[in-house]
Amino acid sequence: MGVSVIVGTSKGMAVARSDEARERWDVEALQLPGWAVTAATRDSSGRTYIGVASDIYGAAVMSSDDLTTWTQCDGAPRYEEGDRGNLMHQRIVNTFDFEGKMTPEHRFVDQIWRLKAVGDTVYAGVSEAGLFRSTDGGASWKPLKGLNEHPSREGWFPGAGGMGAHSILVEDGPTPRMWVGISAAGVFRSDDGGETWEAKNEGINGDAGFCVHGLAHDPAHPDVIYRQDHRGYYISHDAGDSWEQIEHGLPQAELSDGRRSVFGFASAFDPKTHTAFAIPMSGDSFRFPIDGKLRVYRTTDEGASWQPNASGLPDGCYANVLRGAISLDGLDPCGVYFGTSAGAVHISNDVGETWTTLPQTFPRVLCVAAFAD
Amino acid sequence: MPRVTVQLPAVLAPMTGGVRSMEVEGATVREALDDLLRSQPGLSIHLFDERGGVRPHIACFHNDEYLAAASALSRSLSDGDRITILNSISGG
Repeated sequence: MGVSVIVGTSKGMAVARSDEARERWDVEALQLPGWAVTAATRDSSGRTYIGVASDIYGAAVMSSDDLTTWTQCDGAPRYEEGDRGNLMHQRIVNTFDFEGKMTPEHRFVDQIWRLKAVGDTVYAGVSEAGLFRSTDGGASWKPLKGLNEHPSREGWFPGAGGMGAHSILVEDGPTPRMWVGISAAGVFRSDDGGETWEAKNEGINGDAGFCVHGLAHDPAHPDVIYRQDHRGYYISHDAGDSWEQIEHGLPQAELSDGRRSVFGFASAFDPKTHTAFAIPMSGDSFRFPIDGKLRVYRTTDEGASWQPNASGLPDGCYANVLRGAISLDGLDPCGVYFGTSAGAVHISNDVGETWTTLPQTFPRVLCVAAFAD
Repeated sequence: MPRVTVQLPAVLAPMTGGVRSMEVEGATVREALDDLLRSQPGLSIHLFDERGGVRPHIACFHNDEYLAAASALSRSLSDGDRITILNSISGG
């Protein structure tokens, strides 16, 4: 069994395919040039979905059964007439008209930040922030209005990359709880299949909004959630009801307001080894590895201690690792894959113990998704 | 009904199965695009945003004449005309 890794970039998508040992990699030519490939997931039938976006032509979902031939899904997440937009978000993502006028009376889907398949259901987290669900292979998408029209929405505001629903966690089981992370509104949880949602940010430093950057958990033991925020790295032991900072061993950085905490985006968790992964950056002003040393930090004791790993990772790296640009393959031992904003893709076939780097230089890596074939 | 040709940019080819040029019918640009969308419904979200208007950074030409967004859809067409959809470009 090999692994296929989708490398979604700002200018298209590449697929890297491995041998069984995950030591030899063949990387195919860039597909879908001109489209940002922003998210990827695979449903229980083996069909893979990607989110694509263009500043000019908007966002869509495409699917493929072989990672080679891609077809646009019949439907796409779209807001409805009367859904009011957020002016600050529109200013960031430039969704104004040709004369430069912004249109907050309308809400637009400009990017699909996260696709998450659970069985044959696919969830899409989008910006302007909202969550949609398809149960027919992408032919139609229904908004989860309990979140999209949440009573607190008027108070939401964007992060530097806009106001997006970028992280989706779903519990295993017939009536799963769900969590979604929205920049910079925080984490919301649904206990009723996505009908109603409640903000879950108790214990988070919210001085500049609840700017969650990434979430990770074990779907089989979902009460424990790891959370990389703009202002620190946190864990919850009660499904998000409360959060505590876990930065022992993680390097803090100075933020733009002069205070210090752990800053980064990438979050992932390997259930087999109970390993959480973090890739700290040098604060919100710089967004590259501290001292230019790209390191993956791991904890196996729920954040009581973190250890950096440097084996095979570069010094002299001044690129970011974006929130969607890390993925695990679920094999044993777990493969870990992440890409950088400078177009490098780093690969580990041993739970992050050692690393190799693909020889290609890709455009800015927006998402990475690994699938065991 | 005038028969016209709609030319599409390369970036939209993945959404049309590789089709870059289509013969359609319409007395106006709007009608011609509606006819285009009957055979290529997936293009709808790429040409029109949630307001129902042409996406603001699409440049639409009627033969060799650039159409300002506000009046583009109502422009009358004649047999053999050409509508070209392009990405608006700025900067260098």
